[in-house]
Parts: sequence; structure tokens; C-alpha cells
Amino acid sequence: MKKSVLFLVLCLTGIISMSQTKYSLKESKIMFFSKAALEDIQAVNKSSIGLVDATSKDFVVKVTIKSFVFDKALMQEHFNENYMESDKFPTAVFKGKIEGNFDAAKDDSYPVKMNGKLDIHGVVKDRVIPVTIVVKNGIITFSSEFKLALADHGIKIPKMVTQNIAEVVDVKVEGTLEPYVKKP
Amino acid sequence: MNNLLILLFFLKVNVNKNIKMNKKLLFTGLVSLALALFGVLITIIPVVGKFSLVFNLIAFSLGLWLTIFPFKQSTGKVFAVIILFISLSAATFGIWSNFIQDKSPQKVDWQKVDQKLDGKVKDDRPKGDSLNKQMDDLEKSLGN
Repeated sequence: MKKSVLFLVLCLTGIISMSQTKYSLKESKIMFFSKAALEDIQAVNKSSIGLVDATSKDFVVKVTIKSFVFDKALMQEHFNENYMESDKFPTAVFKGKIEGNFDAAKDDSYPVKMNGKLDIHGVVKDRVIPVTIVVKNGIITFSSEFKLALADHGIKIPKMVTQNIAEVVDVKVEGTLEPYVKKP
Repeated sequence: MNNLLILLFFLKVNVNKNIKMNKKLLFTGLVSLALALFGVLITIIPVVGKFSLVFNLIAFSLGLWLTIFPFKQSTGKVFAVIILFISLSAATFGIWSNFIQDKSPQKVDWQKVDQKLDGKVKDDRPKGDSLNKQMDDLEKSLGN
């Protein structure tokens, strides 16, 4: 009898783990770097939320703009008020499909492409972003580097500060995924 | 523009009945005009630095002051030299930012960026029900 119960529990656990196809962002870090003639501007955000469906390859990531932290408070204020208008456009969203194969159950490094719509500052653009997903000992990490043209998302730079802010900024994203379960 | 004002100043000095015509000053004024034309050429090239603009505004204000107020010739010369120096600094910056500055793409040192800001940045994602609600919304939008 005990053996049967144990067998049943093992089977159910197996079924549950096999059916686990959705992963959420356990932690993430988005960094951007603007290199201009007069100054370098850098910021980091650790407050994104996101979901990836390993079966359908759909993904969605939401970034809170006000959570970008700069090394100078004034830069952060200008970023939110003058450029990103974060009261009007509080989040950036990237949503689409992962192109390429990755197996969350098999340790390996998977170069994939995230093809989707990137909504920043209320302007949506189609983007294909190369991402490397690494599965190691059951832990899924990802990283990506790409460039972002501010004009593509309607972010205007006044002529007075063209020497302070780059027209195209470098972005690096990295993070860890975990099986999606609702937090208590 | 400021150099043009300097030229006007020198012309003003030269046409003044009380001051004898001074060829050296007129020559300086013409050189100044040439610099002004050079300044115009620099400004029409797209990238003009903020420093260049600030320098030019200061020089322009001084030049205007110099032109309007009746300075003595010697005082005027001192001001003229200061303005020329400022204008040349602006032009030098313009040349540097347009032609000399290395604008080739450079690899970003992300480790440095991370180290600089890591201590300041916190994970301020919503917690509990608020997070669950946002995740529910994300789940609904997944694939749509």
C-alpha cells in the first residue's frame, strides 16, 4: 500500500515537472550606456518582470522606467522627466517569440533570437534581439547586448545636449529564469 | 559674429576724429573678420559643441559691450585680445569635436558600469498580490 502511494506521488511529481513550461524572471539586470563627447551616462535596472513559455516560445518582459538608477540624481531626474516621460509612459514592454531551439532540461548554451515588438516611450518597433540562453545544472540564465537608437522610440535630444547624450545607446541585459509559480 | 563686432569696434576707433588712423588696428580687425568667417564655417558643420556655444555667447556679449561703449583704444585692445582668445578656444573645440575626436565605436566595459552602480540599485519589483496581479496580466498577454 505504502509503495503504491509513493509510486503515485512520484508519478504526479513527474507529471507536474514535465508540464512546467512557463518560466518567470527570478532576477534580471538591464544596463545601458550612453557615450557622448562630453560625458558618459550609465544606468541599471533590476526591477523587470517577465514570462517565457518554453513550449510555445512566447515571451513578454515588462520594465519599470522609473527603476533605472543613475550615478547622478540629476541625470535620473532628466531621464524620467525630459526624455522618457515616465509618468506618461511608465513601462517598456518587449513581447514576441523566441526563434531557435532551447531545451530547459538539457545543459547547454543556446544562441537564440527574440523576435518581437519593443514598446518604449509609447512607440512600438519590431526588433530581433540576439540572446544567449545557458542551461547549467537546472539553472537557466540569459544575456544579450544590443544597440538602441533613441530616435526610433521618439525620444528627442535637444541640440544643446547633443554632446552629452548619444543618439544610439548600448544596452546589456542579463538574468535568471525560474519555473513560474505564483508567489504567496 | 563676435569677431565681426571687434572689427566694428576697430572701424569705430579708426573713424573717430580724435584718434589717428591706425593701420595695425585695421589689420587686426580684418584678421578678426577672417576668423569670424572661419567660425561660421565651423558652426555650419553639424556637430558644434556646447562649450563652443557657451564660449561664443560669452565672446559675443563681450564684443557687443565693446562695440556699444566708448572704450579707450588701449582698453579696447585688451578686450579684443580676450575675445579673440575665447573665440579661438571655441574654434579649437569645434575642430576637435568634428575632426580629431575618436568617434569609432568602442566596446562598453559592462563590468565597470555594474560595479559603479550595483550598490545603489535595488530590486523594487512589486511583492505578493500586486506581483501576482501583474504576472497574471503578463500571462494573459503572452502570445497575444
